[in-house]
Amino acid sequence: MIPLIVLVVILAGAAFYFVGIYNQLITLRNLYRNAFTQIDIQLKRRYDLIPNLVEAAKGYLAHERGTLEAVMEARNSAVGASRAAAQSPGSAAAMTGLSQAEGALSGVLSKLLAVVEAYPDLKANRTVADLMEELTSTENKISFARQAFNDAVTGYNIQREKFPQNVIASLFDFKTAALLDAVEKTEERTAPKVSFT
Amino acid sequence: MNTDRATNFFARQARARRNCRRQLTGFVFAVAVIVLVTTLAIRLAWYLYVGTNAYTSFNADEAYRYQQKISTFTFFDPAFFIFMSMIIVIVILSASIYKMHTLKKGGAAVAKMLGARRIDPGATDPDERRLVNVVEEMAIASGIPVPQIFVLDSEKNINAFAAGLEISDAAVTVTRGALNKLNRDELQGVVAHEFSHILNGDMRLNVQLIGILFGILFLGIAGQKFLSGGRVSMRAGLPAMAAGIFLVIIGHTGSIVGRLMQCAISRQQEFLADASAVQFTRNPAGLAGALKKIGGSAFGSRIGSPEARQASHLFFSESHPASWFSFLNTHPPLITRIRLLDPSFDGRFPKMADEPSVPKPMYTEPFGGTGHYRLPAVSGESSPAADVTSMVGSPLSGHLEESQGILTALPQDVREIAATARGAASIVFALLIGKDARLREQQTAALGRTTILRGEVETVWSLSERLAGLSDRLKLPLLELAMPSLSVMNGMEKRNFLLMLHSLIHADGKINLLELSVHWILEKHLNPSEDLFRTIRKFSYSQVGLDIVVLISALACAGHPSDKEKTQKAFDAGLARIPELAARKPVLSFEENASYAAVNRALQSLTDASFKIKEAVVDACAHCAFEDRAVTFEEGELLRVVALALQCPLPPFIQPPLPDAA
Repeated sequence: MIPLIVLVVILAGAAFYFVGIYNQLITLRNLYRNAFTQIDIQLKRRYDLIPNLVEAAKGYLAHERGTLEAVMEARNSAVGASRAAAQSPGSAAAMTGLSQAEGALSGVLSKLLAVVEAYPDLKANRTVADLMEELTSTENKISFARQAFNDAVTGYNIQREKFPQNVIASLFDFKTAALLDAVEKTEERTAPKVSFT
Repeated sequence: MNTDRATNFFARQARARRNCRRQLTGFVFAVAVIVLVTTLAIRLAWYLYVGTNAYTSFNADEAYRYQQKISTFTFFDPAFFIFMSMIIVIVILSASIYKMHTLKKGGAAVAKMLGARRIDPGATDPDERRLVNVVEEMAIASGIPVPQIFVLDSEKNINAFAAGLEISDAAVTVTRGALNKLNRDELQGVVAHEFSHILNGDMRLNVQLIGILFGILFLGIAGQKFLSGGRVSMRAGLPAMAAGIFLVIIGHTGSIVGRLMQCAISRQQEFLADASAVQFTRNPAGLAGALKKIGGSAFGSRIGSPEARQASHLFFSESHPASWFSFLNTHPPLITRIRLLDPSFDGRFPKMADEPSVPKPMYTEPFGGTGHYRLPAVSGESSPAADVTSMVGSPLSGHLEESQGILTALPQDVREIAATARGAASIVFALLIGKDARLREQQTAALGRTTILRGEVETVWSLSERLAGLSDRLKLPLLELAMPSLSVMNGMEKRNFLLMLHSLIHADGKINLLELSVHWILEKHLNPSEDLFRTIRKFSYSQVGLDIVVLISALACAGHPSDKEKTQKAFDAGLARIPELAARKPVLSFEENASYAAVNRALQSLTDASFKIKEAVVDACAHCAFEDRAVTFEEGELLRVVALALQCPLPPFIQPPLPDAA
């Protein structure tokens, strides 16, 4: 009788332990997915701001049509990439796609901001100044949200790869999540530093 | 950076708890010191009093009694000691508990206690907008909810603090000087520093320390009030004087002990908060820049309000520097802090201009001017209208002076009413009350329905009677005065207010110029963010041609109400600025009555036109108005409403010295 009770207790303990691990993995996965929605919100806001800025700047930047078109083009492809990424945050392909599209957008945007710096009339325009401030803030928010997302993903991956968590993980198909890296384009590095004072 | 830098959230919270115990020990120590000093002082005074009486009394019996007392005198009388300590402990504890209770309401209560003004998350002022954005960024970076934001408007030096008991009720406060003097990166560094106080749990500790300090300093403050209150005349005698002096002694002991406690805890926190700020922003240059600017300006980070002394350990940098004893400073020296962030710092601060900064008005596009505007002398061929479009969005210093001149002409009590949201709403409503009896009846019915006034409709009537005599020139500045108070309203109240405004304006089915201006100014002021994200639907002149013609016609007629020929000339001058439209040869159309309603509709329709069209419209309107180089009041007002509605603000027109009227 006693051995039976001991066996039942041990089995129950093990079951509770594994359920605990499973729940923890679920929690962490939801945490990083939620962290991605934070990025997504800011990305959407940036996509809304860019056309307004381009429209406002158009009148002044007749000679910079190329830059403006490049910005709009990069923005449109980034919108597509972010839609795909929002479908499956953490999947390696989607994250790479998004970070490349975002890198391209940041590159041309910083070029546009540098151009704006060169036109005092444009910089003095209240609407443009407001939009630039919003855009700068949104860029910062994106990068901070990305840090938070990467922290959440790292926390999840660490738990997922530990033993015996990895057993549970492979049993219930918890996939490795991919980090969202900042792709530093060459244009981004060479662009002059823009500061809004 | 700092060696004992705690790496994660839990380690920091644990450290905060350790500090909390240290603080409690400090408090007990402080009370003990105060009890000791006070009892000794009282005993000493008693000894002196008895001693002098024993040898100077002329009554032999009395002298004998005193001598008896002095022979049994000890400095440590246990009964007396326990009695005194109980009284002092009870007073200190109840003062502390009272203060902590008032601070329970959270960070906002502390900020308000120090005279700070809350900033709406939808602020439109560029500096405040930037602050709101920076705080939101840091909330993301540190992963906590966005705290409430406050500004100390009267403080011209660079400083900031965070206060609150829980993360959810935290408040971040920044001085006006920090807003004006720091650039974006530096402001971010300062705000990040404050965020790390929130996250590290220092903030809770610091707010508790305010309560403890209040208790410790309470007796001293009471003593000072007692002595300086004039209630102690010589007649009240020695005992009352002595009591006052004792209280002051206690006060000084308390303030030194309190100050020591402030610095013991605060200095460690500051290093840690600097380190965490860099961790959040990944940009040591911003924070270092802010510290350098503090070092470079003559008054550094000094806070003018003496109220703030009890909170000096909350601040970003030294708010009340101790003049002689640097070991009594609540913050580590600036140079040390900067060197940790920027090891190459040579100790030379950049020179900062400390000119008394002109207080910025809330709304930088004031209306103004009298019957006729005259443009500044125009040289050569350049058209005056070109000046106007180049003035778009850049108010000159002259404009500020002009609007301030107008504001000082307003009656004082009206200005006081405008300081509250409800009062400001009543003023706006009172401006819109019509003269016609039937119209008034309809407006009264509408006013009764609103919840904003909470039944105080009479205020609106008495105000409207007073304002009836006011010249039109003063009505719009009055509106501006009311605007900061109006923006305090929350989203729901704003909606109600705008609905009310709408029903007052449309009560008679007609719109006059004043109503048109009020409508657009308030609409734009209270719903600022709408425009930024408005989708542009109209790209070609064919979509808005009619609206533009209406606007230019209205302006041409406003300039020359009776002269048909001149009206046509002004109309043509305006239209010539938009060749695409002029090619279609539109005709001047203007009916006196329906006019402003039509203008309103035209503006409404133009709001979602592209920026290029809007700019062209403002340009055309300006040329129309300046065709004859003199601008009537109506013309100027209308031009400004157009500019405001289309979000290309114009500055008011500066009046030239005194050329003869055109």
